[in-house]
Amino acid sequence: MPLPQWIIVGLRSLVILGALFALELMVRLEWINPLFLARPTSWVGAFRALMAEGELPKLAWITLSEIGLTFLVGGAAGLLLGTLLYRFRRVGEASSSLLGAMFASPIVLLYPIFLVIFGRNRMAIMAQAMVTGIIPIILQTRNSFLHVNETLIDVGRVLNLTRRQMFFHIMLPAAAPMIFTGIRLGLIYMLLSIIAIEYIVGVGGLGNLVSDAYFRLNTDELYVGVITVGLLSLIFYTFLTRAQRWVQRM
Amino acid sequence: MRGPMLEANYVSKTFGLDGALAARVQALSEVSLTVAQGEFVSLIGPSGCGKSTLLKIFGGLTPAEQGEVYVRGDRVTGPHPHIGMVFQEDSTFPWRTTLGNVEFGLEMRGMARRERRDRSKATIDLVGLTGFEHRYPAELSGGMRQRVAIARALILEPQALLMDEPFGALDEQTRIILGEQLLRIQGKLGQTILFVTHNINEAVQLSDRVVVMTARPGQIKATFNITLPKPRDSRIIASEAFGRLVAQIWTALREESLKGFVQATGAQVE
Amino acid sequence: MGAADVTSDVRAGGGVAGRPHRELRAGTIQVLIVLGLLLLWESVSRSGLFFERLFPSPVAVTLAAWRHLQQGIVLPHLATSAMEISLGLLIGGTLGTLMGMALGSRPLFGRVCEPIFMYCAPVPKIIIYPISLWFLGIGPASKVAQSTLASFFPILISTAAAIRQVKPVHIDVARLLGAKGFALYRKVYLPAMLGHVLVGLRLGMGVAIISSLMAETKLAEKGLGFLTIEYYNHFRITEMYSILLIIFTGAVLLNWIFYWAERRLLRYRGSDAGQNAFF
Ligand SMILES: Nc1ncnc2c1ncn2[C@@H]1O[C@H](COP(=O)(O)OP(=O)(O)OP(=O)(O)O)[C@@H](O)[C@H]1O
Ligand SMILES: [Mg+2]
Repeated sequence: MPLPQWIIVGLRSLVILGALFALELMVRLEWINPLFLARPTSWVGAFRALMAEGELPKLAWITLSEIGLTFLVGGAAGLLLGTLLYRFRRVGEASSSLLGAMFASPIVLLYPIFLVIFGRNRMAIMAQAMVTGIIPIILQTRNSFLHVNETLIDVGRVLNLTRRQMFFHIMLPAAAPMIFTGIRLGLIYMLLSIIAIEYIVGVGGLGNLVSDAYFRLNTDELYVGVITVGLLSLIFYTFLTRAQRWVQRM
Repeated sequence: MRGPMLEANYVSKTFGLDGALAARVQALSEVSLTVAQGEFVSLIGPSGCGKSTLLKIFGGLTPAEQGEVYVRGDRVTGPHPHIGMVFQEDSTFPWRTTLGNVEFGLEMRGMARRERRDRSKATIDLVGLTGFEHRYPAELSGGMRQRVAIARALILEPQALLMDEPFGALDEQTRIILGEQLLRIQGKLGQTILFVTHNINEAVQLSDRVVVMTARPGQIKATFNITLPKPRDSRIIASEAFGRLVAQIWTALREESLKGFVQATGAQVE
Repeated sequence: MGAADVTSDVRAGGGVAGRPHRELRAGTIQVLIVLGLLLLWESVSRSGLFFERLFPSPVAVTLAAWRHLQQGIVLPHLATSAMEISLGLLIGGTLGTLMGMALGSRPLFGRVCEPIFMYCAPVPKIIIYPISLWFLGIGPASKVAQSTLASFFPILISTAAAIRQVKPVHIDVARLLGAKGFALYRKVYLPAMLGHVLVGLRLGMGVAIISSLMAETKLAEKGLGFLTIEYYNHFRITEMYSILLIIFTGAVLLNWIFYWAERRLLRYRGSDAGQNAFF
């Protein structure tokens, strides 16, 4: 007999708090070098300070706007390309397995190429993230159209719909839930590569904050950066999961 | 001598005992049932009345909450080596071929490969799947898969077969043909069969005895001895005696089915 | 576990099977696409439209890669990276499998704790690299830590899902037919879980490669990622491209081997067609 959800959530919070408490204790007892691991309670102070300076919101905004811009361009292009690859079957078949092979390889590692082309700036980061994130969108869009229920298509045929009508009233709505899965995946990949390259190259928002804090040996600030990235991805992920549930309900 | 093969004495079972009171479901209430050696008994009753539960208790897959269960006089505490079971849903292992599925039990008993092969071939032949030994379940039809499941149970030569709506998912024709095949196999090997079905025709066609259960909590409501001559084939369906039996059983079942329907849907049925 | 599922689908390249002549045509088009891109690259590079050193020709890059392989320059780096990746995958895979089994087989534990892991999974792990560096230094240990962490999550999630999708009726049948203890795990649980487990392993390997090499490009003394970024820093762009070429060829090859093994091991599933064409 399953327990009610509120008890589960309560237990889950206890597990998380317990882990934080254990960390705090281990650092206080100096089992772990406090130089390397800031106490959870000191995260709070550093977090407040960075918030008050307006530094943290600014950096988070930079990261978020990079993701947003990448998605705007990459999402639109991905949907279009995916649709075209469905429309032109031969080319679609051929290139989707190429794209699949590409997606399976570590594309993020190509970032030095983008640095060479664009220089060490946010443009390079966004271009790189777009290349990574666009692939699942393209592939999944094509795939979703391929898997539209035959019966629905026949319904459209019987109604003598034009291609346009067929696309907007049958194919698109039928494929939407699956297409969204691709979009969600693409967005997650964009977030991952933007933060990773921000950190590695030392440019842009939150990733850069962590990179800086390491070199300045500012333990508190580094942990604030890490936690903020964690929280941001958590919110992002929750939002996407909710959105997906909503799309798939229709 | 025909001593009891399967025996249940005052078996009760309630699910959800570890949870909230409201979530408890009493599936079986003091069910007593005896099946003689070589007998074919059908269980019939409204959906959710505990038929599958009773079979799983006989199979030693779930313990009874109260009462005792015996197989050939042995108290059941776990799967009994003389029991074979066929499930309602598709239970073939998709990662094994027909042959691999059928020989699974022999493999578990540590029989040598060559011997396993020979015996599997014979059993596969018995259920009419020769030529499909090396196909995977994904390449077989639903009826063929169910025959694989039956062969897989038969190969260990169980003295009793527990069959939970084995033909439930099949079309009427296949169902009738498989029923005939089952009777033929039973005629050859002489197993005891406890058979769950929702289909009154099927129950009458196959059984020596039909047991009707009440709506939940399941109890035995009535027992009908089927004295139609054996061996039977499907043509018996057309006989007058057959029709009379079906009508009698339906009368007993109708009331319970309505109750079961109300239980399940909360609907008001007149 | 939507994300992992889709990823596997997408990574498998959309699984274009079909009749042989179809495949041949698709193959021809593929070759044409690749050749076209290479030709474009070569001609752009020759045209002098861009600074030649920024945009080396594919021929030059391939030659450089060949030279690197032949003169054994990359080998020590390749060895270091391979060691980091396989060690990370081993540790992360073991931990992930154990934790995934626990989450999948204990309903309460799963309900309480699995969401924690689910939400940690898409967080960019590279962000804690500085912490690994502080604790483990700039040698291979910190990269092993990164790839361990990265491969832990996909393997955990797919193992938990794998256990849950084992059909109870298969366990019942096997028990009735006399399977107990180890045989039950080897003959029923393992094959029933294999599909998900292999996908998890493939995803885990992918992220282990990425995270080790990415970490190397940030701060390291050795490894393919390190070599790439060294060339970048010294502005030896052709060499940089050649190392990337080696990395990518290796990754594609590994993935292809995995994919092929998966196909062989899961042959029993048969193929599912269901592709349509309209508009
Ligand atoms: N594992 C379980 N946990 C909780 N309740 C269960 C479980 N198995 C069965 N039940 C409940 O016990 C009752 C009897 O179930 P059972 O499967 O035996 O019915 P049945 O007679 O086989 O029905 P059907 O004809 O539909 O197959 C049902 O109300 C069901 O909800
Ligand atoms: Mg049942």
